[in-house]
Amino acid sequence: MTKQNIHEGEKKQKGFPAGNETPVVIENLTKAYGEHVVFRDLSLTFPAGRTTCLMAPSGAGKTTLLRILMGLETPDRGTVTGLETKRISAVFQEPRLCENLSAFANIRMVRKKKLWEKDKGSWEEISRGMQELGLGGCERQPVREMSGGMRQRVALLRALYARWEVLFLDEPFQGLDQESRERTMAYTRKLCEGKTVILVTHSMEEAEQMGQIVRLPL
Amino acid sequence: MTSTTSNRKNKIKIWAVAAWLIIWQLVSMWIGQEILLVSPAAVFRRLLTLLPTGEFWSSVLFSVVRITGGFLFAAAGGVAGAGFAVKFRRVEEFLRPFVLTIKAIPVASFVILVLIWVPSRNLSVVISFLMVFPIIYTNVLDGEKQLDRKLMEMADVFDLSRPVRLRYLYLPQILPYFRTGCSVGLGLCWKAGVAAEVIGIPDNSIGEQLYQAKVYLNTPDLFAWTIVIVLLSFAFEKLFLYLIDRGVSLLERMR
Repeated sequence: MTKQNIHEGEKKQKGFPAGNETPVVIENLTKAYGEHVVFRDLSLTFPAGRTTCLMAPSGAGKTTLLRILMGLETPDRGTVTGLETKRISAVFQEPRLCENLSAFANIRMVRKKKLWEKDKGSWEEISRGMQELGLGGCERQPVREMSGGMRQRVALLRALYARWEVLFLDEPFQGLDQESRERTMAYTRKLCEGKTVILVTHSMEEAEQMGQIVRLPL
Repeated sequence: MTSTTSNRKNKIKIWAVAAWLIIWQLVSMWIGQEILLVSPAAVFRRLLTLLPTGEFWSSVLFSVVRITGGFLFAAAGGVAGAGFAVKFRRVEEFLRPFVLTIKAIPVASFVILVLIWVPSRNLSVVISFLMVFPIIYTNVLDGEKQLDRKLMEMADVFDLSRPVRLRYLYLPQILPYFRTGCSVGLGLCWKAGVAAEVIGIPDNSIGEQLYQAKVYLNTPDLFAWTIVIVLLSFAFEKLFLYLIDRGVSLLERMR
């Protein structure tokens, strides 16, 4: 089932599009893979305009929950509201970049609608972002030639560059050294201020710096 | 880097070609009968006499147009078929027996069958098509099935438009499969296309020239025309693969 399909039911029920101030609410969400129940009757509210940091032990279903919210998986039961008309963006656990393309092309593609449309300042905007994350001068470098940490930052920049109202971050700072991590966290905080962000992390330090902590009852 | 190195290793060396020509010349001199094994020098002389004639060029043109035409139809059909097959399971199920049957039937059977339905002048178009279609179809379908699912999910989350998906995700992943299909198909379509012409004997074709050489036991002509076919097949394979590679590099340079 696609993202649109999952939320279609709720859209009809509510009868009005969700605004930017609408929180993301999950109610009685249940998901199982065969015998293995990932979570049962999970209910949570992610306030609009804030960063919520989800914390739980490994294998507890944080990523599954994000995937359901992103519309990539269907819950067995329960509802998700507040995402119906919102544009979403994400950093996945892996960078998920096009290996043969440059860092710039990977980031640029998320705002492109037509292949031949003019760039209108995107080079400057992306270069500035790359500069801030310590990737200055790597715009034309193919992603396949980049280290894991560099790819991670390109994936984060791509997510931030996209037009979004709700951002999902699945361990976005993993694989970064201390200095890069702090710089990247500061940059992310700046760009996410006043916006709805759902972040999954194992690091208490990251969670404390980024936003409100929610420990999942999983 | 690896592919470049292996390309360099796979290149034909001039010394090796020269060595084979010398062996050929020596064996031909040892047999001493041109009708059994013509010498390379005699073949070269025959080629030089064929080249300036209008008949040579009209035969080449006739076969090139039809065989490459059949190849192009097959390439377009294979890509379109694979596109539909990956989208609609029923199309794949419908095409599977057709593709398997075409792959299994010998070229000679096809030629005789098709001769009943199609005029001999268009035989090589149909035969080239039938030989190449399953290869391109199967390769492109394999490429589509191997698409990186994680990248597809990324495209769904970012709501990428169709042209953007096509250019950034589908084409770079499918083109290598298409390229391999073309490389195999181009060699095969020339072999099968000319074989069809030899059986169908359409006027003024390379196949007819080969047939005449066989009837009159004209070994120098047979070898000369065979060399022409090998060169044409080689040139078209290089040209098509160059165009595909050029397309890929243009895609990669596009922002």
